[in-house]
Amino acid sequence: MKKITLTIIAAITLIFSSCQKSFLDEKPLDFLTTDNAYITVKDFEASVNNLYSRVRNEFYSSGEQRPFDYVFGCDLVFDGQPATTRHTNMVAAYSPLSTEIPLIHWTSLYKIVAESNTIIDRLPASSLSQADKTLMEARAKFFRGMAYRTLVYLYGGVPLNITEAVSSKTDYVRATKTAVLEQVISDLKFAAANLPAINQVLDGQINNLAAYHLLSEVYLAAGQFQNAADAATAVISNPNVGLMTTRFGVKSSDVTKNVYWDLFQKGNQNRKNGTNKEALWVIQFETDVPGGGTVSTGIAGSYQMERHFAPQFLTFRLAGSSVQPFLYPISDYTGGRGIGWAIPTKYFSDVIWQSDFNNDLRNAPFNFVREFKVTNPAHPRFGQTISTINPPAGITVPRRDFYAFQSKITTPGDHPDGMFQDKSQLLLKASAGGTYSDQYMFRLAETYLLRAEAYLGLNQLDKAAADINAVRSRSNASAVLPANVNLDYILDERMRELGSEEKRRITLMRLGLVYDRVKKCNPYYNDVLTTYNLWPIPASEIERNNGAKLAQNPGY
Amino acid sequence: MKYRVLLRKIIALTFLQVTISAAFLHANAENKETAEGLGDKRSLVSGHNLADIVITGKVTDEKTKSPIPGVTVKVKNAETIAVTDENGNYKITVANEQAVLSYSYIGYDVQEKPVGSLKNINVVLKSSQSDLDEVVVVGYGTQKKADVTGSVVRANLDDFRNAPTTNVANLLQGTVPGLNVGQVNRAGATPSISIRGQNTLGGNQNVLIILDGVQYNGSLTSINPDDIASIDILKDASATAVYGAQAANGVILITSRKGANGRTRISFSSQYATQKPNIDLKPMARDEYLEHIRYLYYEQAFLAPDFTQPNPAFDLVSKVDASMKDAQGNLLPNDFSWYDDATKTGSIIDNQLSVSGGTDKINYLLSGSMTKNSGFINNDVFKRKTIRANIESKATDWLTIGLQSFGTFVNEDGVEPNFVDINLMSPLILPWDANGNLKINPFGTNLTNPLLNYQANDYDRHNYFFANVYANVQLPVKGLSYKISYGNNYRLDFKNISNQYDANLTGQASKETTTYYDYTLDNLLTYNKTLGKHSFTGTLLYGAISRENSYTRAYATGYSRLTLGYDNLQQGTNRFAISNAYKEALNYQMFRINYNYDSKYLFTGTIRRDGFSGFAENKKYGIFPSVSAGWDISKEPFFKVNWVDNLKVRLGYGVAGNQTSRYSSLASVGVGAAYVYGDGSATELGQQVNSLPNPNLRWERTTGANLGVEFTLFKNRLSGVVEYYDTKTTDLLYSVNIPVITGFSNYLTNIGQLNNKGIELSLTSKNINNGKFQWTSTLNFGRNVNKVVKLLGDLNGDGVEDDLPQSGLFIGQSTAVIYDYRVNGIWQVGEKIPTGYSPGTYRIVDQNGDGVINASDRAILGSSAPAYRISLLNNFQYKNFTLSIFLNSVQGGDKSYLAGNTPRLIRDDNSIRNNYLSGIDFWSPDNPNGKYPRSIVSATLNPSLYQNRSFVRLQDVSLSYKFSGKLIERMKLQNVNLFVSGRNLATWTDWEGWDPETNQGLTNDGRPVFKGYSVGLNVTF
Repeated sequence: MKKITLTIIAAITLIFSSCQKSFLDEKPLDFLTTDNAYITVKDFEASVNNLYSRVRNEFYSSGEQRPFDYVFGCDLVFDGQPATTRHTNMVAAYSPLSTEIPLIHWTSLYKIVAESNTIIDRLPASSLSQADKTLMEARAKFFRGMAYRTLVYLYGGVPLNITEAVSSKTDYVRATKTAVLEQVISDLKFAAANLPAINQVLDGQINNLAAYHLLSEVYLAAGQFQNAADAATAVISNPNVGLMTTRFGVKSSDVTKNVYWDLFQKGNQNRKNGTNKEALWVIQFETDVPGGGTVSTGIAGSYQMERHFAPQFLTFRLAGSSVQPFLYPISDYTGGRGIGWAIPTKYFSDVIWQSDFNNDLRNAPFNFVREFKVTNPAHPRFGQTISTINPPAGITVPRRDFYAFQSKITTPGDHPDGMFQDKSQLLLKASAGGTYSDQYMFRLAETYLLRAEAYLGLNQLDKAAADINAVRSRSNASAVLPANVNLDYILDERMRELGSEEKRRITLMRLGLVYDRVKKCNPYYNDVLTTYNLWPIPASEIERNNGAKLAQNPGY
Repeated sequence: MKYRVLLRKIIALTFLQVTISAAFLHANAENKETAEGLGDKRSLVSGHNLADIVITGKVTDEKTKSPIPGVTVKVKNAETIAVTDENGNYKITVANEQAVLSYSYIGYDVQEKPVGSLKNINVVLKSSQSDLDEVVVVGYGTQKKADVTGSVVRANLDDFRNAPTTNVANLLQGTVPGLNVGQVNRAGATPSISIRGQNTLGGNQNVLIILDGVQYNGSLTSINPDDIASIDILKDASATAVYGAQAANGVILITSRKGANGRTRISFSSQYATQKPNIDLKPMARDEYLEHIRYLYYEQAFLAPDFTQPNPAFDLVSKVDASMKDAQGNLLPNDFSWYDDATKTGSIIDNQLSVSGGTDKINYLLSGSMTKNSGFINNDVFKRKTIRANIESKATDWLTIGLQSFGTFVNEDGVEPNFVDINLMSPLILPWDANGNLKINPFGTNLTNPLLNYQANDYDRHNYFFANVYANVQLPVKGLSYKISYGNNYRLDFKNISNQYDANLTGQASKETTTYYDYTLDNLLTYNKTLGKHSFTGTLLYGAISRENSYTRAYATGYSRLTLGYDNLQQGTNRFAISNAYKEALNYQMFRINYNYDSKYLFTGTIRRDGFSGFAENKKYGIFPSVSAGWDISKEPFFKVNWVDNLKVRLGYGVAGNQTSRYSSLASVGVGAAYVYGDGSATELGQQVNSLPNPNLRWERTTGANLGVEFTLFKNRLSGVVEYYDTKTTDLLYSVNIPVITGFSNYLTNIGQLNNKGIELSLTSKNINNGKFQWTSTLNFGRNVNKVVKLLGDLNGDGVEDDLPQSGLFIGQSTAVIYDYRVNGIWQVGEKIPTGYSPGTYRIVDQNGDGVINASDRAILGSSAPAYRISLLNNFQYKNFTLSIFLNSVQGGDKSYLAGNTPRLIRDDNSIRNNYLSGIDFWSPDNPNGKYPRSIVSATLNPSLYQNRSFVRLQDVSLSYKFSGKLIERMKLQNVNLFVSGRNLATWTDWEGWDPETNQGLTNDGRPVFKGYSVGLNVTF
């Protein structure tokens, strides 16, 4: 009995004291922590890869609406269906209280800043070689510079946060616009000096020319025109790049098209060892590959440009028949599966083309589509052409289901297989609407126009005209006289060359010209105010920053 | 002759007296039973019969002294059964004097009487409910209810067992003051459960559930309600402190049934119930739908300037979406109800079988059940099988070993049609094309036909396994025992699905598996010591818990054929895999001492130390002490109040915690596929910091006092408990919203202070109690007031604690405060309307009168928390009939229990195309007093209209009949009980929409709450 007692007591003692100290250590199983995620080159590459993804998300693919804030409310398009989310009723769209437009971009851009800060701050303690440290720092500074450049254009002088946050901070104050621009310039100069050359990076990766291009733009914003011209020259004079003047790429054998058209065919955007020498930085979309952005199983993840910019032919009818004249949705030059939300202003579709309507390659009928063949065999006018230039009786142009648009917003015949309902007829599924091609973030033609702007600022109109004409002559447009070069002309030329491809708001807010250009070119937004040359600081951010006062932009 | 009779009478009387005295002494010794029968001359019978002894007697209620009809009188280890008549009298034949009679009746303790030489045995049964000798589970032990010093309540399950529901939590709804159980609207679903007020801002709000002593974090749906013997609820900090860092939200202790000594009991029960929505809310039919389009175009459909006279030139058809017209442009002729097509009357079929019994050495319970609940929406099906084995054996004098185990197998195969989409489908469109095939995109948009979900091959299973083995060792020191228990939970969830219409019609199949395992190892030393009237119990606990979870999902898209479904994912063109996992561990010690003097002065002291892997590195352990005391005043000699039978006061004070969740103090870096450089290249991985670290993150501390008064009055006619509590929670776990400039939108930290005060009342009154008819009422009332006292402090230095308006938190207000714009009607046509607003949008009150509507015009409008909860149970018994009626109510008064309920229409493609619920009072120029906004363009601000959710519900009605008489005897049945019951039969509320309790208003994404009727049968052999 005594033995049993002892045994029991011993057993209890053992059980009561058998818990190891490591029992309560916490080690996550399916995620890393900042302690173990910033050590090797692979770690930092992963962080940089994420920055690419975040940029793609912010400017192209975060969803149905927000990427198009860079287009709506400007001089390029107007809203085919009024909605706050497409800037109709600007009071509501730009309300500091809105949890959409002002807040979402603010949040997304500052996340890019924060992730870049983490990379930069954690490099010194990492195991990287000095060369790798410099490379990673250059990459991170490129993205941080780009994010702050966007923030300062959109919101004015914003708080500068250039170190990794490791704890809460609620006492930010706004820096001056100049200070923010100086920070951006400093970051981009480092990036331009230390990023690899364009022919030494993978397709889609940032390089020193992309940095110089962006730096040129930011110098313009800072009013440093000579620096801007110099930065642009660093790009333009680089032998690895040039404007594409001859047919190239996957469909170059189609003799009915032209070189400007080639630039936007699916598969042609990437440099591919110099095949496309005009591309400086291309945002990558790859279908059905994790991380590729787009999927053939839905519109999610894609750049929904086709959906916005193409007309909603579904509801279009001609007088005399209730039958739909155009098959829809269809992967042809009626625009895929558009729903007519972003209708080009008359200024964009008509006014700017007047001087060279027939000779400008960019205005060729397959680049700026203005006429449509009736594709429905059941329609009495099957096979006939219906034109937006001379619309049939009873049809006013533009209207949501009938207007002219740039074909580069879609990929006729090139939708992914999963998006076709019947590929032999090119008929698409109801889930189409994404634009399944890589997208130019920066293209050399724009660099010429940036330098033209710099020369204009330096009052060197000859040089400005020469740069503009470099772009125009490629498209067979007549040359502009130096005397006719002014900012409005350059903005018009950007519209002609870049059009739907451009983040128009970046340009207009950089120049503080949203109000002026909307007044001049876009009668639809009749409630525009000078206030809207800047977006408001989100009200929630002002409230959250309770340790100091974040001043609101005037007029809000 | 006369003398002989007299003599026999004398002998019999003497004999009886002796026996009764002996029985009385015995009863006193056990302090449990009372045997009476003295002076009952009628019952004297005479005559010896060696073969069969006829015993007669009367059964009465201990407290009311009235006879109890319907009591089962049974001869132990034999098959003879009798039932008392209307006057409580019975007559039964036994074989010999060694026989033992057992008296049982629902709601009373079973009593046994040896026959001996008695011929007349009168029995007094004690009600098992309000009995102060009742034993309750208090966590790591049990206690006599009379000796409990904390706020511990045993739930009344008996009156609700017949309710048509499949989840035990639904049985608790409204029955315990301070225990708040929500409503469900899905088959087999578990409602929300909380105890008292909200003690946390951002921390865990779940009640801690202990099943047979083991922490249980599986779904309550896995527990067969019929296997549950009792549910005890620990409400105040002094009671919950034994569970330390996890106990701040209260504790529910569930105890499963076990076999009882004596005769084998075989029990079978079966129930069938129907389930229908308790409200008639449907989407619009054709005519109303078309009118709704007209009103979206009121500026064209009606004549300016008033827009009240129809415009004869208006062509409604031209405004209707193209998908609702034929090739000629005419409206389709249909008036189809997608809602009717997707729904049916739901049902519950429930069958239970259990066998239990025991001897001195071993007792056992084996049970099995099969339940099928088909919800109201097609394919909302819940099927459950459960098996249980509870076995306990007294292996030796000093060792008891036991096992509590169950397996539950839930099958939720099948995908219901997306109910939101059902509600927005147009009545003009049929789900099928001319060939009878389902249309893919009924609107021609990328919205797919909700009925395509029927095509899914879906395998949705949840398997729960539980086993707790324990050993209880009586140590050689008297009163000292050691118990070790090892509880194991294992769960295995499968979700396999394939559907040819998924993944943009290319077909998708997926296989998903979740495995979860935890164990709890508890070592418990208990020491009992009684010295005269002093008694002590000491409890020492050392335990550990470890949990791990693993999840894998593989899926493929792009199928040319889906014949093999999810069992051959390699048939898909694109294949993907995802997995995740976690681990966490707890380690804890607890010491408790209970002292009582003559059950008059009571004291409990507890201290618990908790370690948790999820606590931040600088704060791995927490300590949680508590003390409580009780005083039974009615036991004092000086206490002489006639009408008070029993009066006990208790006071407790303690600290309980709320754990951080695992990994929450770490700077987590999320990883995933990020980018692809170049056409045709491979995936590059990315990583991103997702949260800020906080190495000092610690548990929340809820410190609280609880004052309780228990009383029984007027000769047991009225009994009840009143409780008052006052708690404060500090170090609140809170994700403070911070400027996103940091790259993060919030920071998890410990802040501020939150107070909860409340009062709870439970009253039971025996209104009528005579032999034939009994009427008992129970009233429960609970009110909690919650107030934020401190948040981040005074950051702006104005001498006043700062609010956190961004997070909706204000000093001095409830956490449930509603801070928003106040709506004052709707802007009308012809009024001078500010920019950003238009007719049909809400007019917002300019609170500060500065002429502009902006963020500073938000104001405190009220609270979303209830003002009080109240319920009333009436129980009637007449002969063999029992009727119980339960009314439950949550009330808000003017400014509480509010919720945003604002259907709103702004004209766009979708609002024209989509269908909405019928009968919504939208504004239009010819309905200027319409309640809900409808406009052509959106307003700058679209605030909600906050409406009151108060309701009174006839929640449960149950009528049961207990068979008695010859037939039952002949069939050798112990109990046969037939019942009909109803749930949620009526709801009185001003709330518009699906249901106030589920907080679903006039939205397409709501679901109805069920009204159910059931019939059932319980048979015990």
